[in-house]
Amino acid sequence: MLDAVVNAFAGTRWPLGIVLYVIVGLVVLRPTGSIGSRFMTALGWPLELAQRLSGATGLPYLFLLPNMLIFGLFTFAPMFINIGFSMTDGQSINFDQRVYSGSDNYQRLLSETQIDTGGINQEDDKFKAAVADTFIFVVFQVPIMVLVALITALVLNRDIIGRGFWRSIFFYPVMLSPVVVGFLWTLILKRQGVLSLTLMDWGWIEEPIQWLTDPAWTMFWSVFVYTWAHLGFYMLILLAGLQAIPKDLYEAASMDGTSDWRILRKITLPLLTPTLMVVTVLSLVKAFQAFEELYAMNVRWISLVAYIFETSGLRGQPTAHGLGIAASASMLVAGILMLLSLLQMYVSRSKDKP
Amino acid sequence: MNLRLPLSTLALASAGLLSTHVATADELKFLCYQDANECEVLAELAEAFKTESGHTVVTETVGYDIIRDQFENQLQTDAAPDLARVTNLGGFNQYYLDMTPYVDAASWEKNYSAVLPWFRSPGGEDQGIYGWMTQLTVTGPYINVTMFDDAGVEIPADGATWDEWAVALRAVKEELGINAGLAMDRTAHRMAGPAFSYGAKFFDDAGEPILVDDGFKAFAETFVGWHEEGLMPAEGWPAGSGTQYQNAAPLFLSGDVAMHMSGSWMISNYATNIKDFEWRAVPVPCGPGGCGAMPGGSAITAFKSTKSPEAAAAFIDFLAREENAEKFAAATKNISAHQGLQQSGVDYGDTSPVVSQALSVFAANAGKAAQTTPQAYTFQGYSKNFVVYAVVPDYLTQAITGEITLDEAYTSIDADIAAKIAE
Amino acid sequence: MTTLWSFLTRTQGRNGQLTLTDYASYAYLLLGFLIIFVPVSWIGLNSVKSAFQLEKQDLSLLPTDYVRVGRGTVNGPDGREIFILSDLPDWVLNWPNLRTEEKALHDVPAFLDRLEDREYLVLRSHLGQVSVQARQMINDKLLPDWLIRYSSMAPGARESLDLDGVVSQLDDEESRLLLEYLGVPPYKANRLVSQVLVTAPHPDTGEIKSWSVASVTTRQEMISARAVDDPAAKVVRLPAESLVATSMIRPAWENYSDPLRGKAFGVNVDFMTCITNSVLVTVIATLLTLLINSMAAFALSKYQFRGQTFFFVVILATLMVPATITLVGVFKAIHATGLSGSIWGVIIPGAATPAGVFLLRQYMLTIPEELLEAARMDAASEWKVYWRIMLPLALPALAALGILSVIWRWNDLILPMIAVATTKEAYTIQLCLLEFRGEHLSQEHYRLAMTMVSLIPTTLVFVFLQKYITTGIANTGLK
Repeated sequence: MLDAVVNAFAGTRWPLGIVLYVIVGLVVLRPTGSIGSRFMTALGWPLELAQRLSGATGLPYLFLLPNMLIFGLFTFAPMFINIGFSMTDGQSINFDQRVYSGSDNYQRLLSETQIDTGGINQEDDKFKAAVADTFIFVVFQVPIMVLVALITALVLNRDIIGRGFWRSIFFYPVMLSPVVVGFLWTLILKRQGVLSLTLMDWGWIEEPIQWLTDPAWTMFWSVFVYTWAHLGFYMLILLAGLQAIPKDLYEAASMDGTSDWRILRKITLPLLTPTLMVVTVLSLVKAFQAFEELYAMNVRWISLVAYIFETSGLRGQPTAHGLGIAASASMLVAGILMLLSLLQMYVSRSKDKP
Repeated sequence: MNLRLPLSTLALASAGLLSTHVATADELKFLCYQDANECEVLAELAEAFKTESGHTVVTETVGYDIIRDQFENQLQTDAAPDLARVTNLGGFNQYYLDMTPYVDAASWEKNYSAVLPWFRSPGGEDQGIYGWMTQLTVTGPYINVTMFDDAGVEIPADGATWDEWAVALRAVKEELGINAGLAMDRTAHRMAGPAFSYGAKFFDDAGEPILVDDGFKAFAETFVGWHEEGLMPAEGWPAGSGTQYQNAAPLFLSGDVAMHMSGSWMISNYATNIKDFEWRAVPVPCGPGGCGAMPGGSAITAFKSTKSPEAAAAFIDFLAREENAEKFAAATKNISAHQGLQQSGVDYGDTSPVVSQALSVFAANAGKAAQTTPQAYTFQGYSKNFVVYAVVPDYLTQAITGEITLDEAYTSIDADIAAKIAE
Repeated sequence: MTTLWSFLTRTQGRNGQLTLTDYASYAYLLLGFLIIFVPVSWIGLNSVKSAFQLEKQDLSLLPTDYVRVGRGTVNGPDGREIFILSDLPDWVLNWPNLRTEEKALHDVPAFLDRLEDREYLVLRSHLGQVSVQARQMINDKLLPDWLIRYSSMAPGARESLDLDGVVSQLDDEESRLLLEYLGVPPYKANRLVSQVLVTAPHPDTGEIKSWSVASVTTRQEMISARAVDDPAAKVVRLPAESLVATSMIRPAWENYSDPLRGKAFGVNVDFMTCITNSVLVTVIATLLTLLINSMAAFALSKYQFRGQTFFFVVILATLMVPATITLVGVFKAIHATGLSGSIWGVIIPGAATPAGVFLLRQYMLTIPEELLEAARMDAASEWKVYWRIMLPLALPALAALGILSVIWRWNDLILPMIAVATTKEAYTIQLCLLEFRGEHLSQEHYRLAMTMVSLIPTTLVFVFLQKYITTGIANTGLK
């Protein structure tokens, strides 16, 4: 065990860099006070220096800097690489082995005839089916998720016995990996799984039903399992948001004898709006990108990310244009999502500032 | 002074000897994955190699998922190891080290002629020697003998056709009231064998891939018919969507079906796990086109980016020798790809007769396929065969569930495959 | 104990009366308990089922097993003989599952000496003695070498060998042994399978008898059975409801102990290293994430500066692109910055989470500006305002993000796989769990058990941190 620790810290220059950074901070600022506060002050020595030298105007940029740096390298640059993939042809991930092809991949994705062979294009049907099915999933998933998360957070914020225990229970599925979630619900929902057999024992159905692939049921169970698995995440955010509402408001209202329902509508919900917006936007984005649990359960419909994943051939099995097509699809998805999120934020912008 | 010269010459000479010895002792990095104990056996063979040649082979065992998902990235960014155990034989062709200058090409051609083409690039000009197959896998069915006993149905003999087997399975299913008769893993890789048996050629006379020919259609119709009559279960192919792979082993293990169309890789799983019914590997059923089965397997290859090509090739050559190939096959309970060993047999040691007989049945399947449906071997070597494996279940499932007609499925299959391999 | 009790029963004070909302709340909690707790605990129960039960996706609630008998099949020139053997010791019935050390504990030849006829034949095959005895015989009688390889030879090669000649030199017993070893018809391998012992009334006579059936958990209406004490009788179909089997709970604790002790077949990971790496990654990455995300959120929420909307939109935009494709770019970036191969390649790239920045920003928007102004008027620098005022006030959101970050990092498979694919010393626990999956075989029982083990740290973290979510400014309000 000790070897692992030693290995991690001896391997690269990073730990040394961090230690040096803090030492510089201690030297430059010479902070006083407890160890904790000295450490914290030392951490921010570039910002302190910048403020002393040139005032507070450039400071926001410095606060943003570390985050944007990592973003730029590891989140944003890959996005540009993605755009590059979508506009080039070839199977390699190296750009020097890819050929520029403009909007070819988008055409391969969207047009009726396949541009390389002249025959029918299967990709556009698959893509449009994936978009339509994912859209339906999102339309049901997001309101249900936000509603259930809100109710759960409200309930778990009250004075109830064993509150910590209940919170742990509702949160627990978030800690399970998608593979485990898929394993569990496959056992329950497969054709001769727990649900079918129990319902047959009770006499409610005659034949076992394939809950996950029956067209009538697949969407219901997809939404159900996805909500089950991710409820805790949004519940947690809302719980945190509920703490920002000052208690005196509640006390004043209850002294006036206001009913719980009015308190909810007039005090809680309005003040919870910024957090609700986080939850809605995140829930929308993540629902559009739902993939792992659904893939593990083999549901009938193919979600957008599942389509992208299968087409990209990144599992060591590249097809002639798969990477480009998948990249184009992901850019289109990103575009749709951007529009939806901006729309949503614009609509609730007036409630943003307290 | 006179004494010192000889001493210093001696020192220089010995330093020279030492340095040449050090210079030829390379260290090779070998990335391996295992299902059971393959990498451990390879590590032992590597020790023997070190004693013989002085080169060290460092074996790093990782999960299969890592090799499947990440290895190509490593190859493309020159972060790859010297050797690796890979399954995508044709697909990595551009990265392989051609070992022909370093090995005895004639003996390789003699012993591995059937499998060497799998590594080469398509077109026929590539005649390089690129790797050593660690094992040969073959597709073929397993049956639940206890069910046949209980139902009082006779097990069809060697050489029976798929139709005869279907009759027998129907009888078993009727008698016992089980869910279905036959289950097949959801990939065209398992379906290819029966398709060949029904006459599918998969390649036209010019060597171009064609998928939907009369033989393929004949089998596809039979296949869809089996689902519709209930001989094949609804939990199998119809329960997946798109290109998802599904293993039908749980159905066989839980007694839902009487026959599982799978392959030789399940032998050790079934031998360890199945205690409550008698399972047996049976010779692959035949059809008008022959007795088709798909061969396959993983291989150890060296890569162009290696700094020690001679040592890497020497290691692979060492493993490919008859005695070492036999040692590996016996220790890992696998079928060897060495053609000499296939003829003369492998001493599997204390393996139970059940396992050794299953192995011999599958080896015989491979032999029959080589004779009657040689397109199976060509297909395994076709670098884009994974496109076929993935596309066919997608549309056939839709045909089974009735979303599209079989004819539409045929057109879609052809169009999709053409699009995915068009350059 | 008292702290545990007080954790479980902590509330913020009750005023005695239960209102309608309270009842509704408790009803909701009960619903959640059933829908969430029961399935999750079923996973735990599944993790102690045997490998076979998991492979066949057994649906039983608990890892049960039944009292079993052996059903033997002996092949011979007259056909197949099927009979039932009761009173076989457990180790005989479980022989294929025993490990080599366990097998060595039993004196197999002595056991076989006590048996005769077909019982001897079938158990000789089942306990692996056929190959041992046959090879001994081949050695002792100096029979040709090619016999050892015979069963794996190509059919064409066999034709040139004179097996009949060899067999004719041996007496009946020896030739039977040899042919069983070679698998030559009619002597296919004799088999012993373990079936469930049930009692049920005979359909014709109504007499309660003991039967042997393949399985009692199938959904068929009629199950085939053979009578235990009447071996020559035919197979009988019994109605499934009439069967009575003795079950017992047999948890497979070795699912947990084998990997942790390094005895899992074919898997050689050091779990302590995996867990240490995961802990390091999670702790350092979470601290880093909390720091830089809150700095960015502070800037975006409490300042007006040029480009603030731009930055905010950029951060949101990165949420929109599905990660599956951008992985390639992340791989290139990690490789280019030299971070691959060490755990820092896992820690640093994932530290700037857009969701985290978003969450913290929204929360910080609700913190009144006056509190910050007051501190600024006391000549505190912006950095001091940040970490002395803002961070404590944002504690609920920080705690929430902390929990989420811990869980993301602990469960993350993709980033570690990209960063440290082949550097086994830097493997996190999710990568180690991948080792249980081969190309064709997947040791699900070990995977499931180790997954349960890996859930323990995250549970503890959650339990510890969740109380911080409800402390904080809720009590301070506007002063």
